Amino acid sequence: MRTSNKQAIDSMVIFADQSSRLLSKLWRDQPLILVFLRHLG
Amino acid sequence: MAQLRLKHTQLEQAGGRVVLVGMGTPEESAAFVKKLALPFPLISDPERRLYQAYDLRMVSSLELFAPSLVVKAVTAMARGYTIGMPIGNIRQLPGVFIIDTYGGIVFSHIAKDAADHPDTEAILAVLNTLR
Repeated sequence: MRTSNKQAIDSMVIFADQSSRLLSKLWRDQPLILVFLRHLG
Repeated sequence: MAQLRLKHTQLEQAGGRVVLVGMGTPEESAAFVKKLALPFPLISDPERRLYQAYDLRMVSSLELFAPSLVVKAVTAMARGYTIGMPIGNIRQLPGVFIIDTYGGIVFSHIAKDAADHPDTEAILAVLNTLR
């Protein structure tokens, strides 16, 4: 069941292992907790 | 990050998938994942396109070194948290979003300052409503 009217922005993303995929592929199967870090370090 | 690691199993058991976003290049990101033995995938966003798409704030230099934040940083270090050499724009603030399987944003935490992090219990509570 849809629980929000605010749609997440989809985008092609690149991972640390150099693989790439659409962000939407990550939330299609299970809820995604997207954590934006302040910096790496 | 430390809280996320501690609650990793609980977050997964609640059905969530944690994915990090950082400002390093893929090479820098891979080194970071390896150094910290992170159990989460890390998106490489050196141009901060995703940060901007999700409307995450940047702070001024004045805000960055506000006395209240310096106190929080010192307190965190006293508790054993370390601050390494940062990779990325140090004025960028963090944030956390929970996106349901329909692509809806059901939780958002856009940090007001560098020490503003959501409670992982709040994240778990939201995940439990999605089950």
